[in-house]
Amino acid sequence: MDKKTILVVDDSPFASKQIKDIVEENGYEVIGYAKNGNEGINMYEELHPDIVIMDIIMPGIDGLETAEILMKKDPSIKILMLSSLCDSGTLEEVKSIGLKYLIPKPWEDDVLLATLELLVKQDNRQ
Amino acid sequence: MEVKDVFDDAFCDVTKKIVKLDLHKSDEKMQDAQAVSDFQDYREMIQTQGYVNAVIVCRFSNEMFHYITNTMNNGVTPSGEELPLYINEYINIACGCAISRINDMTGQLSRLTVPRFYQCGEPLEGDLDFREQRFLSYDSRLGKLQVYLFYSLNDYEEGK
Repeated sequence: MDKKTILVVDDSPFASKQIKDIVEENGYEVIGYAKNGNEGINMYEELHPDIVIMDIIMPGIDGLETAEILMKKDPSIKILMLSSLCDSGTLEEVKSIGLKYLIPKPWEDDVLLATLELLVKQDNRQ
Repeated sequence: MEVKDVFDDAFCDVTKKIVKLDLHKSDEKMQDAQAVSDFQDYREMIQTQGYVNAVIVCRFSNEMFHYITNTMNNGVTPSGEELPLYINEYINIACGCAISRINDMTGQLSRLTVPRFYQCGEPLEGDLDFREQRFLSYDSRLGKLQVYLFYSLNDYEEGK
């Protein structure tokens, strides 16, 4: 089975490296890193990853705005949001733009992997 | 629970989880805003807007600063360009955990800005004149951390 590919959009090299380590041990492939929203949009169009993992708090356009732009360009896009802000209000904001998944920083690896699995299954149903 | 206690829990929990270091409260005295601006150590500033309007300034001893950034980079000293990104993430996570908890406790929203790193001796930019000032001071086996909280609580949503 082909590995699912991931684009990480996060200004933190700490988060990006941690994500790469855990997902690549578990059958995914990180094919790109973007340090801000604009870079993320450009890299998505260039690389066409299966999944985007994106931080909310970033310099320039934040993760929510970036997600909205990407969803307009590609309504079938699969995005997992990450944030140190993970309260019920932030989750509502994530849902209000049509996304389902928000996991907290620092995350538990099993939560990250289980959420990725949900995104992949969602992909398979379409 | 007071704002200060929420930040205390968040800094201790996040430091333990991310860099495996126990923080212990110490008896240092809080200094005034001008002194905070003039500190010669590594500092980070992050702001919150919304229900909690705050400027949070973290002051690191040299040893603590390098321990955190090296540990977050798998034991290797990050390049000069990357150093701020590691300490930014540490502060982002600690303050994000605290603000998330306050948001859930109050049912009101506050948001974080992108943190800013200040080199030793670089004067802070921004106004530290807030109604409330609180101070957290920690010792550890690998240096010291101080957290200054300058904030006011915005009651604009009361009564809704």
